[in-house]
Amino acid sequence: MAVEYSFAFPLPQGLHARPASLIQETAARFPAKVAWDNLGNGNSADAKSVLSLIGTDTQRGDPCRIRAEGADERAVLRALRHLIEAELPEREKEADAGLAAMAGKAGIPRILILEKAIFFQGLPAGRGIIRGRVTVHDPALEISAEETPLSRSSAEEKIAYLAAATSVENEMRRRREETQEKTERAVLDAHLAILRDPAFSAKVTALMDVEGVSAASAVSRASRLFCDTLQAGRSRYLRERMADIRDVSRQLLVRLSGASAPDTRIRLGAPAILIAEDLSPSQFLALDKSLLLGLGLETAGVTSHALIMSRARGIPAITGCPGLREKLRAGEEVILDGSRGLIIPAPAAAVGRYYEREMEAERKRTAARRKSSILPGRTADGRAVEIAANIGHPEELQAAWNDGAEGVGLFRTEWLLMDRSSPPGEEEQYALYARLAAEAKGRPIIVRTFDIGGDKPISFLPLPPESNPFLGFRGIRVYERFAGLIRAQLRAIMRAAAEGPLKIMFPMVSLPEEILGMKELLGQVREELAAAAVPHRPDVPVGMMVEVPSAAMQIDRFSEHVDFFSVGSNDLLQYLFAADRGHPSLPGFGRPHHPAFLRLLKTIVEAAHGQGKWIGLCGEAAASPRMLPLLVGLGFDELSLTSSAIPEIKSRLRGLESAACRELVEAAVGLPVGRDVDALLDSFERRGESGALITPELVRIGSDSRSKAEVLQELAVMMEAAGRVGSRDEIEAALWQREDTFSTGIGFGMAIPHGQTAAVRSASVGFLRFAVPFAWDAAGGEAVEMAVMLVLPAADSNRDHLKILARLSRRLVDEEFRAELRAAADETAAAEIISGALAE
Amino acid sequence: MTIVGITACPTGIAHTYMAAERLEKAGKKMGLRVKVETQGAMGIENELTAEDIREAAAVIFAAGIPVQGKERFEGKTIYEIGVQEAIKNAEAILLKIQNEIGR
Repeated sequence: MAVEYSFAFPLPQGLHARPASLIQETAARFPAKVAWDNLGNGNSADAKSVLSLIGTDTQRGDPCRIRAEGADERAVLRALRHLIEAELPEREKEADAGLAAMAGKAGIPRILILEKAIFFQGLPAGRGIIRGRVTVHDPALEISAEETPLSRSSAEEKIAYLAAATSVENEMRRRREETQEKTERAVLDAHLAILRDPAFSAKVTALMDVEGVSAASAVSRASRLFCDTLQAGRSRYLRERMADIRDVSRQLLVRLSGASAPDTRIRLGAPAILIAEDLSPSQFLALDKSLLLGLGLETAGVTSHALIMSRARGIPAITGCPGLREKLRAGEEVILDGSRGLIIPAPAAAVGRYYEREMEAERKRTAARRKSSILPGRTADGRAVEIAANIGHPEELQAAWNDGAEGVGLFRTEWLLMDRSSPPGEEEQYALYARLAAEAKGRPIIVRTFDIGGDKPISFLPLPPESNPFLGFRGIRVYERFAGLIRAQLRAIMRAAAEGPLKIMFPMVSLPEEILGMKELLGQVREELAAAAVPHRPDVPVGMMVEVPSAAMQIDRFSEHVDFFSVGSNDLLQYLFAADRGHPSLPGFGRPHHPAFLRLLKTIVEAAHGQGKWIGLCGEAAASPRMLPLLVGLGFDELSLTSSAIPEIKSRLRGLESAACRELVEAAVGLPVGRDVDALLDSFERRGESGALITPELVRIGSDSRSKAEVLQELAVMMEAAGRVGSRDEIEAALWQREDTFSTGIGFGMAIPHGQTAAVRSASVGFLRFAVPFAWDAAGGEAVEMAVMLVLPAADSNRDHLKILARLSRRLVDEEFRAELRAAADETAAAEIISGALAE
Repeated sequence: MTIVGITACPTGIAHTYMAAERLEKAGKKMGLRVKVETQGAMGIENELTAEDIREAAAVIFAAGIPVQGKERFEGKTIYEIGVQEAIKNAEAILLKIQNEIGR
């Protein structure tokens, strides 16, 4: 005697994987047979199979019926009824709250949350945004009936499948026992549920029975079949469940095939975004780059060689996104946001539009960067400061030239020693340095000799771990012990220097004796090369890093032996303050604009110039716009920095007067505490600012924004283009944060998005007049025709700004004023009307 | 008749002043004396004096956040409204208060 329970399905997202698992778990506790009927579409399912439940494609409001038959039939019905009516809606609310919490973070465009978009987040690994179809590289899943001929009988295949399933299950159970981690356990539980899901094994067995295919082929096809069913759904949870099915299938396939011998070559048939677990440098090199739109990798390191190479080519990329191969289906369209580390499958129209606008902004940004990258490194009054790049790998060189590097101030060579079992020989190094020399086209390249120590283990160099490697056996100090290694490097550089402007620089020098030892070695190398008639440059310039205070205090002594200096500001800073720069409890230490550090830098530069020597600086400080006036004022001949920061540093350099920078340094070194230098730099940054809160570039008449999300995006992009904001994502997040407390739609066809954030450089007012009015809030209401944005820096204590904004706010509720804005002919006119109101 | 009010909002740079402006303007139009204290990013401005409060027939709090110095208004008839409400419907609000107080 069967019992039934009928209801309308209550969950807004339909019957997806998570509620389906809960229903399956509950049903499985009872012996009775339980069936799920969707009376709306006629689909039926076994309620003890998650896959079968999901397959009913049940949406909110669908009339459903649960039938139970057998022992405990009433009890199971009661339990399911409670689950569906009481528990599931509660659990869904919790899950939605989790999603909403993500909304507050900068870096996730709000449009994704508003549109309930499915998206996956990894790490940014290549700037840029691209929309295209994906190619999924997944060797294990490419097994198909055609590729694995049936060599066994059907009965043997079935036994093989059962053995593989048992083996995978045992392995999962073992791992589940071992792990203490909750999320790992949850994943393993989900995988076990699929492995034991009656619908899955029934499908595999049926394929073997009916179609006579191999076990591997049956698993592969069953996996695809279920994934296609799930693919039809639009929820994030279905995607995760797809990932689980593919993962379990892969484990089964690996066991069924005995050993997997995946083809490592990746072929792209058409322009595509490549999705793969990892990418070896040789795989990347073998790819047809004209077809490679972007990269989505699961486990590759951001600094892996393949990603270094792809960044150098400007290919948008993300990594650190596990399960991508399973969550995305081959051929499906995605948006890859390499700047924020996001990948968005099947973007909805509003998301697509948002990203169209992002791409447009990116194009403008690139054009602006290109414009400042070709500027020569000069101050407003014409003093030359060479702006050079720090390079960690030869593949980064081309990007550095593109960014406008005038040379390489620090070419690191440690990568030559990594991931290998024997040291690089002279010829290998020579070939590399000679290539550098040729590609430099006359621009100077400072090659720093191996900077190794106990903190960077190298397999073929016996360096014992030290308790304090930063005060230990490192840099130039190890060269005597590894004389063969450094000799080969010096010979290679001296030979290549005959072909282009290479220089040699030694790291971690603290005593003049160390330099003398190296000079002696260089002398020997020179004689050997001359004796063997090998082409070389005998007078290759030799310099040293100044990163140890003892070296800083002996510049005059060192000047007798070297041609140039380069301050390694990161290490010098931490050796000066005896504080690790990244130490969480010592945030006030090691700030490069502290008077103590500025005094030391002043001593160093004056001593070097006093001896007629050239001096540069390489380190994070060189890439800081805030430090720039101080470094210029100190008189450095060169600044060497990460190449992506070069265009901004060059354009800022153009705005500095060297005399004002020198005065700034004089003032800063005389201040008693670091905080005072902060205040001094604040006022220096504000000097010469027009003080204008609004300019025509912050106005757009006829804006094509059609929603609040697009307005806040447009305003943030405008602020960025006008150079008024550090991070455009942060200001967008700040405007949203204010909008979340309550809407800034004030009626009268106006909205006044506003906020206060550290990302804003100076108080600003923006104005948009829309081509087509639209509802400001999703709930509807009156259409907005215009938006006025007010933003302040977080620490703006400038009462004048506050007063001005208050005055503008009072004017905005005046209909006459609004009428003027509505009638303004163009951007300039609107900016003038608002400026007028501000000035009253 | 005198009506006093306080306006405030989360960031204190926009709504606070818009609401104050609207209430004052509407009062002027209706022949009422309306004085509004703003509690914004610049702190308290146009502060209500003990005398202002004593003379007031009604008090309006138009704030998206808790107002400061509520204790000053003990025993008064207080109308608490949203700051947006004050911006959108200042006249209607004053009219309603006028009618309710019956003068």
